[in-house]
Amino acid sequence: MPSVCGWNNWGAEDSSGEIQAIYNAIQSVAATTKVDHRFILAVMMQESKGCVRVPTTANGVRNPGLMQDHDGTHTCNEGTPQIPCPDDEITGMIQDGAGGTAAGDGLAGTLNQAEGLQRTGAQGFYTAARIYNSGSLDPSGDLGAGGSTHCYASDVANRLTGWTLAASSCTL
Amino acid sequence: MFLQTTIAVMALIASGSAMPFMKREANQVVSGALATDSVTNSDGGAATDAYTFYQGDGSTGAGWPDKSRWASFDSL
Repeated sequence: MPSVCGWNNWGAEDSSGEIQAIYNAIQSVAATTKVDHRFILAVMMQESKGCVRVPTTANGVRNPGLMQDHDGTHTCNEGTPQIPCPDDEITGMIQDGAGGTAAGDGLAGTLNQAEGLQRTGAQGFYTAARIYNSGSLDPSGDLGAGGSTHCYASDVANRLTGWTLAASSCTL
Repeated sequence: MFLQTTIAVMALIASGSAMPFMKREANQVVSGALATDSVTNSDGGAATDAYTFYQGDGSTGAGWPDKSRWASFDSL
């Protein structure tokens, strides 16, 4: 079983029921938002390692849940880990990250933005990841430039080809 | 990855957090060429646990992986 939550001191590990709920949520949200389910999975792993009890972060902006989305209402840890994390919170966290919230774009919105920037194919997804992390694409077009986590787009690209435990060589 | 309902992933320090710039509505849908219209678990190749440092604009010309190199959902 995974030891994600404990390693980070976020509370109890995901139960098998919670993991099944994550799977179901990704599949159903992928169908309704038309975001590739692999992309949802990769960004979820980037943001929370799949721990349902990941804490809400707040660095001027509130980012809760599995997708650390834009001020969404769904979370299982706003200071106190919730055990169990209910199925509808899990679905809500994935939906908020992929489908967006009133406060900001989800992956669907950032993919639409990437297409608007004439970036399609895999480049469109890596661009959408960059926009999800920092809010915009740097004017240079460099996915490592601008604010937030510089390695983010490289990390997501690697997750999409199977990166899990190997050491990162990103030096940004 | 979701075989037998388990995730075979170990913990590392979580990285990245999303920061919004613009107000948008919820329930967004991908509307153009980047939309994925069907949800299929065997939609790619085998996963490779390795890290390549990708730099630049995300294009295949800059060395980033084409979608044909993405692993399938059920191998992730």
